[in-house]
Amino acid sequence: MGAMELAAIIVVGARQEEPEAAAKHQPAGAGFETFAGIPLPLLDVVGKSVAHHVADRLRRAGVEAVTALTDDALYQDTALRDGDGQAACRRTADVWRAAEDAFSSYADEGVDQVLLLRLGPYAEFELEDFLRFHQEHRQTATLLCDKNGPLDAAVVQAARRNDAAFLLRNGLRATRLPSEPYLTRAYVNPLENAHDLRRLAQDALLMRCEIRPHGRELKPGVWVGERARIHRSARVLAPAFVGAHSKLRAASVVTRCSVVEHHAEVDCGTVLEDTSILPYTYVGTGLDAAHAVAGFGKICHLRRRAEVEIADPRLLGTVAVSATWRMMKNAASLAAYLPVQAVRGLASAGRRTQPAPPSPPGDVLGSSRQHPAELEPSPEPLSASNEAAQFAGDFAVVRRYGNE
Amino acid sequence: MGTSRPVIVKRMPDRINLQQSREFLREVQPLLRSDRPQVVFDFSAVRRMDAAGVDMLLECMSEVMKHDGDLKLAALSPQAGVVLELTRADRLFEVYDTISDAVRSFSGFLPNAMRHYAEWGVPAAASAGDSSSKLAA
Repeated sequence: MGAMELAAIIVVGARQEEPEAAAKHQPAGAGFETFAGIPLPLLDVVGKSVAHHVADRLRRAGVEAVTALTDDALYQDTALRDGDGQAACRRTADVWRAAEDAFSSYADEGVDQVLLLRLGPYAEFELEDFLRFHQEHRQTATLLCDKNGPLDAAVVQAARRNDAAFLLRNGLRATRLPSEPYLTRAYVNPLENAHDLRRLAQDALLMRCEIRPHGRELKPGVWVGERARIHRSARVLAPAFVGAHSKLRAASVVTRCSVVEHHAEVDCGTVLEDTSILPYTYVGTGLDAAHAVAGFGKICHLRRRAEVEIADPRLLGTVAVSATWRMMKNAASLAAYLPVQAVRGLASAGRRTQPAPPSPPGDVLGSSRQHPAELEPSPEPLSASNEAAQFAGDFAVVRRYGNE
Repeated sequence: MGTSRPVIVKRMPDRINLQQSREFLREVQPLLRSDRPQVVFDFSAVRRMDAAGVDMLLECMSEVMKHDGDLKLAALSPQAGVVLELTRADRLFEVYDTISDAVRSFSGFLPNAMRHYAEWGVPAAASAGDSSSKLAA
């Protein structure tokens, strides 16, 4: 395919009406195609927003000119940018009007065909096959459909501005002239609610779709983004993804296709099981997040089918977007932490004792046999076997996650 | 087997933050300190709950246990359910779908696990001894 034979315009969000069938499956308190008021295609899935994944896929297929548009005001918030700081979309006041303008400018530049997409649904159709079908049927515009109906995508001859305008004004669901739609059997995710977003992340980790995690595969099934900090006692069980600049603190567990997106923080002892943590989200200490999508002060529980606002920052908070502000906050918390630990250390120094080993028969002063070195705390972190050895023989050590 | 002691159902406020928790705790403390209290907290109206609410529940539980009573939760709203599950507090309480289920649960002597055996037709005597079977009958 030659340069500028095909251009693409991606419209993010902007669906006016919610289908009745979709409303039945919506979690309570959740908006259609949104999470916490943000269009789902702008949220990250294994390192990049869905819009970004789609644009990358089109570029890989040979589409050099890609314009992405959204009318969502929240997108201006830098929290919605991708991990590398690149904005994937341009914000406009009237997205459909802007799409028409973009179409006209592509037509003026001499592009032959324009691919129009609304996200919305995520579909991995074969682009070349779609274009071949369009050309063989000599149609001015061809809709993309799957077995469940239109996928809000079409290819239009660049010279047919009226057809493009009609398509854009009908939400990419109807053509001006009768035409045969192209039916795809490829991977499709409707991205109607948080459940679909979670499923897309699972499918990416399980290689069921073409999306690949944006990071290095440290061990089979575990991808880690650059500058992610994982405490040595934290456990990441495959398949899982830990995004760039994110932090997993001590004894945290990430398991069962869980995803921690960039700049997110999971505090000590928290277990993430079949959960997506969205960018810049702080998850508090000792929590158990299962079957959920969490971020932007909200958590959507997929089994309870409820989207709930969590106002308590100790449970679910937001990490500062600005690196300077984050550094200042970290310095302040360290400054507050050190004196407390120093005082605790001083207070406990006098009281530090070790339980006496069992005395051999006849040894009345068994505790006097202790070697001074045994009183020092072990500098090594406790392994599971050490922990088990601390308990008496009638205690059971239950194995739940890995060797926890 | 029935119980002669009353079961108190207490409706939780729609917002359970630090301030509301303190007020609520002050309000229910006399109930919790009675002899062997049987209390059900109705969560149907709860629209927002934070960690202070969970702390308050644990405090109520510990107070009730001190007096040899029991505290059960009923009709959890999605908001309360999510927070209790997130903080792992749901494992510490008996949770019922409806208030009547929770109240009824006090009237049986057997714990839930044993009651299932009785429902399946397994003779309770096999697992709980003769005295239990008489009570279950």
